[in-house]
Amino acid sequence: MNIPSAEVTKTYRRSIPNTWWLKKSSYVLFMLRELSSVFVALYALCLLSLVYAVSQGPESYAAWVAGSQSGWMILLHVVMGLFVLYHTVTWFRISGRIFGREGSGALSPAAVTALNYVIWIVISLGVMYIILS
Amino acid sequence: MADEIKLTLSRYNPDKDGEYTTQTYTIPYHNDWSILDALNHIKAELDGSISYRWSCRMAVCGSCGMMVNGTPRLTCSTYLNEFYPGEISLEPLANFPVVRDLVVDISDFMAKLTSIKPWIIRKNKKDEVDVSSEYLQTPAQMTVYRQQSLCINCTLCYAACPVYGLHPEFIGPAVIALGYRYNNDSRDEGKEERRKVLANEAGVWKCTVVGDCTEVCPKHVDPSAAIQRTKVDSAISWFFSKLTGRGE
Amino acid sequence: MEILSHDILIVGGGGAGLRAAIAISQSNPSLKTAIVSKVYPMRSHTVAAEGGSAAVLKEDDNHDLHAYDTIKGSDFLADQDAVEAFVRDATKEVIQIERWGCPWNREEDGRIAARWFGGMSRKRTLHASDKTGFHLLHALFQTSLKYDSLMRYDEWHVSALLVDDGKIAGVLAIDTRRGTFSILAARTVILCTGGVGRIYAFTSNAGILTGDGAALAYRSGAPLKDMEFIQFHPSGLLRTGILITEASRGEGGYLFNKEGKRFMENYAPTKMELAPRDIVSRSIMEEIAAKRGFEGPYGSYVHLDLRHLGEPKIMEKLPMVRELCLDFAGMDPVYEPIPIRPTMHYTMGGVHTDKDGKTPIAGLLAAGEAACVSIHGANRLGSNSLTELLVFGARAGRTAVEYASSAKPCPSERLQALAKEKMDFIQKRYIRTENGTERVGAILSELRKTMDEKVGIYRREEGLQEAIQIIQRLKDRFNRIRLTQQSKVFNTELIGAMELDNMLEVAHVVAMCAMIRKESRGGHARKDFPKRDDEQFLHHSLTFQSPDGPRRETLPVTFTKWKPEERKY
Repeated sequence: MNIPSAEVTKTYRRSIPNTWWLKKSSYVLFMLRELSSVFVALYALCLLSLVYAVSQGPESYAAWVAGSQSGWMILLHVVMGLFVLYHTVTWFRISGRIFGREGSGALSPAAVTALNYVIWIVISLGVMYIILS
Repeated sequence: MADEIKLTLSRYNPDKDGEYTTQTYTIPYHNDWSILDALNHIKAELDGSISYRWSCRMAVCGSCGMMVNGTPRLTCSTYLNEFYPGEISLEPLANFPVVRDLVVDISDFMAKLTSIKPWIIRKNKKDEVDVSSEYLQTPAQMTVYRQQSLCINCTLCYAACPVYGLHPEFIGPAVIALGYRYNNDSRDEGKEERRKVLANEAGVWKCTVVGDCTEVCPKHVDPSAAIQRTKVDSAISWFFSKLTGRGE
Repeated sequence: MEILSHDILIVGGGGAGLRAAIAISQSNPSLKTAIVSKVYPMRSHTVAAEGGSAAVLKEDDNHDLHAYDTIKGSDFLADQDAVEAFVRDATKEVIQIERWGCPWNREEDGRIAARWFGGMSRKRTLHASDKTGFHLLHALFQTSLKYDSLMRYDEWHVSALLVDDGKIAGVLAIDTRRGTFSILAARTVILCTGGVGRIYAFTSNAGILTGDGAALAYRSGAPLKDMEFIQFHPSGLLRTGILITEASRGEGGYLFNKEGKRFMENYAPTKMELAPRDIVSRSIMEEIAAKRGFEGPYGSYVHLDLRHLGEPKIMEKLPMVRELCLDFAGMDPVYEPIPIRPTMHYTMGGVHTDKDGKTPIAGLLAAGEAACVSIHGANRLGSNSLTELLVFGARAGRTAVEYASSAKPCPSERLQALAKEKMDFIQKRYIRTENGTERVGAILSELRKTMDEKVGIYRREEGLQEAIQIIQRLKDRFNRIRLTQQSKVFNTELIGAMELDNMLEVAHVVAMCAMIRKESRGGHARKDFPKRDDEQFLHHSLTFQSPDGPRRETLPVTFTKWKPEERKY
């Protein structure tokens, strides 16, 4: 189907300021979530460097542990931890929306999200058990 | 003095000065008036020159969407009492070019709507006009796409979507939801044809899951879920196409 | 002036217009076809239809039963040959729209489900929850998008028909966006512009229902048929007149008066709440007149009670009723009875056509609510109108293909001359109004108030005479109209003035036909002539425009199998 291409009238286009994402809390939260992926990546690098240190022997591991005890590193880990947590929470919520369905005979979005949390906690406990035992 | 309420409207008329400005009207406050009632009052009694779209005034034709104090809403089902005694600002729907006052140009949306092929596609074309009997479809099969079939094309989700604002090539929430509606209809066999439009740079992968499309949808269509599900679907089928060596 | 040439032009992009367009595109895609509509097609008022669409599909039903119900509903004013064609085509059409994606509610086995509706003797009303019109319109619109040959002029308003020596030659239309007029030439024009609801103040109809098609045809010499028959739907929400579907009674809702009595017992003991609309509406008015209605800030009303249906059934079958109550009446029908009052709903009359959509002007067709075939006679049964626009939209489409293949296009000099005459009139009447004093809004609100008060559910001689006098005065005032703006782009004030002119013209015909029909039949109820009078009035009214105002003629009703009988439910 084609719409006749008439000579069209002049429209007004509103520009979007760079601060658009400060206008609404949902936009701010969205930007924070986007930002959180940087910290998720950073944390992954931290873990990789730890694995690398372990592979290089006890001394290098001890050095790594010593290095991570500085105030700055602890602060960085707290910040990374918060962002990763936020990232996880939003991801669980979205996965509920993707895989959940309203109506009988299907898992509701809330149930799918809850299931995510349950699996998360179980795996975490498992990992904790392995480390601590 | 009787109760009054102030409405500030965006004004734009390319015939006159072509400036995008605002104009404030003070009208009597009625607790049971919708914003559309207020606009119709202004048009009939105070200023015949304002332009806006409306028709059904029962939230089903999708004409009367505007930015109400910065949020996309249907003005027929948004009431003055939500804002009184505060003031109300009305702007044309965000992210669309303004034609005149509160009227926006939705031709981009209309073209995208067509591009998704929103009709039942059958491999055998004769099926489409065979009226000897209906296709069978159980209530359970219907539940799968029902929600996404409720879109009234009001375009509020486009006004709420920052991705569409920043990247106008994005085919947008309502159109993807409509594609999802047909893809998940047991009567349809057109998923492959729609994949070209859905699963590319301007399609679902442009979406960064802000989620505001779903928040503003007056019919609870949940375009955001439709988009994310289509992403999963398109990722899986991409993976399998690589696995089996068959191209896209 | 710019001439855009077509073979077929469809005015109006609602259900009938889209169905016609698809019929044409399917049977002959080489024909240059366009839909010209003053709103985007999916905004058309078909979108607001709720309850369903009637057709014979079930084993316990047959075409004769549907035809008889329709004819009895019409108070024996329907043309029976047209009704028979209608019910036969209906079955095919509802399956066709299913194949185009309409999500009809289903039985567990996957077949299309049906519900009860007023005046129907079988369960034959197919439905998509209570958003049937919405789904039907979007299915049609979206299906129409697959035809590349089909053009659209969205948000173009047709201001005049161009008729050359008794033959249609095209239309003169304004592109609202640019504010410029063009000639849209065509060998065939189909009017699918809907009804005239906005001449009333308390109406379920959308703002766009301004009788454009009827007025366009009437001014060009085509007669309007049965315009006195206006349907008042029993259940309008207070204040706004927004429709609460008859399906709410079809699914088992009750009507109660102030005394807590299901008053339909007194008026239609067998059918109760599922009597035809004219009867239920009058019953409500009788209850109110007898002081058995409720009183509130928005006037008198009765209760429509759905509470006993329970939330799950309401959410499954009547979700829109709940949405509308919550959004527009601030109450929840799951917990409270709905306050309702009859609301102007449907125009039984319209542009006079035969059952193929032809009007007396060669090449001019009409379909849907804009047309009067007549299958509804004096009162339409609920759920026959969605079916009507499918059946007669398709029929008009097929007729148009046939006609357009043989008709010759009008030469462009002739078109320019015809258009110039119309354009001069438009300039003088609507645009150059510097010396005017009258406002569109003021005339419109007086017209609508007058129609509500004097040409409503019950009519009387004096009231109708007053209405006609008032309308004539309003027409005089319109001659001194003044528009506050001359600018072109999206000038809705100008479009509003043209619509008001159409409404005045049509309202005049409605009031005059109502005055001449001194009997009560279907939707036309005269307090001073409370009985049906088959001796004098078993005929259609045909109204022509003349220099002295509306000129009324009569046309016999076509009978096939069913003799007029007393109408009892």
